[in-house]
Amino acid sequence: MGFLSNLFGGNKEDKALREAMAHIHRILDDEKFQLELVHPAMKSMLESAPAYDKDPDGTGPFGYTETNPIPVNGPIGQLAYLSRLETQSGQRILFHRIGAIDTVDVFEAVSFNGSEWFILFVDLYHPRRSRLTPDGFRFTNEVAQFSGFHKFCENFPYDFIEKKASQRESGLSMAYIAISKVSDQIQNRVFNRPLAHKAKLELVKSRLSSVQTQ
Amino acid sequence: MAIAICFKCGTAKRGALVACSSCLTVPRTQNDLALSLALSDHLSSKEQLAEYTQELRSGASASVPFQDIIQANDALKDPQLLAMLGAQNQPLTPTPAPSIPTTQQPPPLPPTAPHRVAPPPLPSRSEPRLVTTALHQSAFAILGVTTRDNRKHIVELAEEKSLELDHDICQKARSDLTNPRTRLGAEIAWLPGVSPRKATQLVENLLNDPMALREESGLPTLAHLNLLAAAFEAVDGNHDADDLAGFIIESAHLAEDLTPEEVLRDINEDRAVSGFPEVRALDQIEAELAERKRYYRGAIKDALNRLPPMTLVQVMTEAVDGVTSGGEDHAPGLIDDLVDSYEEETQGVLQNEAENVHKLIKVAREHAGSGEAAVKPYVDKLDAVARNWDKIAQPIQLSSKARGIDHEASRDLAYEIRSLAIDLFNQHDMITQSQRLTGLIQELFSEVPDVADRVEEDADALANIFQQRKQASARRDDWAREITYQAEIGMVFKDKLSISAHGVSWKGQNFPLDAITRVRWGGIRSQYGTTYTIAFGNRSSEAVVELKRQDIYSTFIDKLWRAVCVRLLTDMLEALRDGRDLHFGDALVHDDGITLVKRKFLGTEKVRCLWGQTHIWNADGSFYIGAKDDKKTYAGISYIHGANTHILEQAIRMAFKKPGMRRLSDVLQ
Repeated sequence: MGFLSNLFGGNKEDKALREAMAHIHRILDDEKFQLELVHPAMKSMLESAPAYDKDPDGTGPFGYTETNPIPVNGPIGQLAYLSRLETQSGQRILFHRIGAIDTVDVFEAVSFNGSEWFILFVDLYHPRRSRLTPDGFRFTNEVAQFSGFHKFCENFPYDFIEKKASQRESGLSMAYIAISKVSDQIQNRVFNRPLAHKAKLELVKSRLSSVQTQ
Repeated sequence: MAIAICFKCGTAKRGALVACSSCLTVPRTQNDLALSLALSDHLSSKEQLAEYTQELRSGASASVPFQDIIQANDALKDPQLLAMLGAQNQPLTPTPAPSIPTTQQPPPLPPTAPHRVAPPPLPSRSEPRLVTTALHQSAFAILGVTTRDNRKHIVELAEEKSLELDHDICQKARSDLTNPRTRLGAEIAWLPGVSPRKATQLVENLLNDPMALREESGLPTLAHLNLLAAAFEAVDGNHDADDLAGFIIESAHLAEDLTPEEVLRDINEDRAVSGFPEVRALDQIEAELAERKRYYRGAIKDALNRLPPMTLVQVMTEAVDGVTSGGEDHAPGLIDDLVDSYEEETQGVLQNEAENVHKLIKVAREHAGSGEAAVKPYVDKLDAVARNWDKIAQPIQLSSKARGIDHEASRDLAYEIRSLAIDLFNQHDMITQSQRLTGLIQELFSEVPDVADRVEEDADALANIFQQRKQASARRDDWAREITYQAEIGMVFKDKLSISAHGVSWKGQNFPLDAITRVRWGGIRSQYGTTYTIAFGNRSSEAVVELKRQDIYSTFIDKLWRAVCVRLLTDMLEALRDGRDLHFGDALVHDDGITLVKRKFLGTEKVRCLWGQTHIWNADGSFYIGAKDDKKTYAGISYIHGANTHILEQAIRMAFKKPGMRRLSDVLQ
C-alpha cells in the first residue's frame, strides 16, 4: 500500500475488503437488513408480528420447549441469534434445524468442544431477535459469525465443512466461522451424543409436524 | 430413529420411549422408561435385542445388565427429557418444567415432575401373587405325581395328562422321573422329605401367598429352600427393600444348613416306597446340590434385577451388612456368591465413577495454586461422586472385610483421594479442604481396614495441627491486645504516640514492629522535673519521643518490651551464637565474653574477658560491665543514648542466672 493510497483512503483492494467486511457485519448484526433478505411476503408478516424478548404467555423454560420458544427475525435471524450464544464455560455452539412443531422450529446444537448437547426451540415469526438467552447460555463477546444452518445436516456436525461450502451460492458462506475453529474437533470425532440427548431427539422427532430434509 | 423393542411384548418399535404399535404400551414409570432405553440400540447390540425379544416373548423378563439400567436412569435425570416425557404422556397444557437442560451434568430430579407416576404403596408380604413358578415346571408338578409313586403309576399319569397337556411335555416329564440319571435332579428340585399331601398344599400356597412360606417350620431344609427360591419369583420392583434383604438373609442361612446326608436320607426314604433304586454315592447328591445352589443364586439375582437400581444397591447393602454384622463375621456362601456376581455387574459403573473421581482430583490439583476458593467446587463434586461410588461399592466392601481382605478398587480410590488431601495441606496449606477429604475417606471407606487405620492417623494429625493453629491464633490475638496502647503527648500541641500489632507510631511516622532494630529509653532528672526519652527506629531513621508523664512512659515501655524488645533479645542472642560480635559503646560483645577497655596512665588497652571474669552494675544512667579483678577495666553504655543497652543488660542478667554459664546464647536453650 503506497503513501498516496494512504492519503486518499486506501487502494481498490482495501476498499473492496472493507465493503465485504461491512456487508458481513450487516448480515450478522443488522436486524433490519436480515429482514431484507427474506421474501417480501414473509417480511411483512414478520414485521407485523409482536416484537418481544420472550412470549409473555410462554410456559416452560425459555428456549427449551415449544411452549416458550426464542423469538427471532426470520431464518437469518435464527442463524444470527444462535450463533451469538455461548455456554457458561465460554463455548459457542454448532447447530442445525431438525424440523418444526407447528410454527416453532426445532434445532439440535452442540458446543464447539462436543461436551454439551442441546435441543432448542425457536420462533422465527418476529421482527427482531430476543435479547434474552436460555438458561445456561449468554451472548458471546466474539464476532458472532454463523456457526450453524437453518436446514437439516445428515451427519451433524461432521458435515459442517461441506455445508458451509454449500452456502457459497447464497453468499452467506463468508459470514460463517472459520473452519479452523472446529476442524480439530471434527477430525478427532469428539461429537458423541449422550444417551439423554438421543432420547430427547427421538421424542422430539416423533412430534415434528414437519421434518426438515436436505 | 433408534431401533428398540417394547418392554412389555418384545415387538420392535422405532424409538425407545415411544408407544408400541403392537400392544400400544407407552413406558411411563421410571422402571419402564429405564428398561425401554436399555432395550434399544442406544445401549444394546442387535444380537442382545434379539435375545431380549425372545425372552420377552416367552414370558420371561429381559436379562438387561444392571449397568445399562444405571446408565438409563442417569439419562432420565435430564430435566428437558422429563419435560418432554411429561408432554408426551399428557395433553399439552402449560405445566412448569425444570430448567437447565444441558446433558453433560444434569441436576437432581425436580420434586414435582408431572409425568412421573406415583409409586404404588409398599406391598405387604401377602400381596405378591404368582401365576406359575419354576417349581410348577417340575416333572412332579406337571404330571401330578408324588415322590412315592412307582414307575407304573407315573407312566399311567403321564398318559392321562397327555390328553390335556402338550404330549411332548408329558413324555419328557415321564422320562425325567423314570430315568435313573435324570430322576435325582427332579427329586432334588422338588420337595424331598415332604409328604405328598403337604407338598401339594405347599405348592398351591406358593401361588396364593408366596411370602407366607418363609414362616413355614418343620420342613426339610432342601424342600424349604426350593419353595423360597420359587417365592423369589414373586418379588417385583416395588418390593420393600428391608423385607427383601431379610428374605435373602433367611435363605442364605438356610442354605448353610443344607447337608448332603440329610438330602440322601430323605430321597432314599421316598425311593424305598416308590421302588426306585436307592442312591448310594453321596457325591451324586453333592453335585446336584451344587447345581441347586447356582439356581438359588440365579433366583435371587433375578429378583434383584427387577428392582430399581438404587433399591437393588440398598437391598444388597442391607443383606450383606446384616449377615456379616458390618463386615465382622463371615457371610454364608450364598451371600458371597451374590456379591461376586454383583461385583461383576457393577464393575463398569464403578470404573466410570472412579474415572470421574480421578478427573476431579486432577482438576483440583491444577487449581490448587489459585487458592481454596478455586479448589472448593471440585472438592464438593468429588464428595458427591465419591459418595455415589461408595454407595454402589458398599456391599462389596462389607463382603471383602468379612472375608478378611480389602476391596482393591475401594482401597485404590481412597488412597487417590488421600493423596490429594495430603498435597492440599503439605503444598498449599489448605487444612480445611484437607480435613474435609480426610473425613470423607474415613466415613466412606471405614469398611476397608487398611485405609481406615492409615486415614485415622491422618485425621488425628490434621486435628492436632488445626488445634495448634487455633491456639496460636488465639495467642496472637491476645498478644495483639496486650501490646496495643496510645497516648497523646504535649501540653498545648498534642502528638499521638501509639503502639499496636501494626507498628509503633509517633507524629504520623509509623515503624512496623518487625522493622524496628534499635530502641533506647531513659529519664533525666532536673530541677524542672524528669524528662523521659524513648527512641525507636532502624539503621536509616529513628523517632525520638520526649515526655514528662511517667505513667505514659512506663506503660509504653512495657508494651514496647513485649512487642519489640523480646524479638530484639532473641535476635541478639542468635547473632552471638552464630559467631557475630556486637558493638556497644567502647565494648565489643562476644558470645563467650566481652572485650573491655583498660584505662592506663597513658592511653587505653583492649582486654578480652570471659563472662565468668566480669560483673555488671548500673549508675548515672548507664549500664556498666567490668572485669572482676581490675577496676580499671570496664565499659559503660548509656541507657538513653546507647541503642539496645536495655536489651544487652537483660541478656547478660538472664545468662548470669544460669549456673555454669559460659555463653550468652545459652539463654536460648
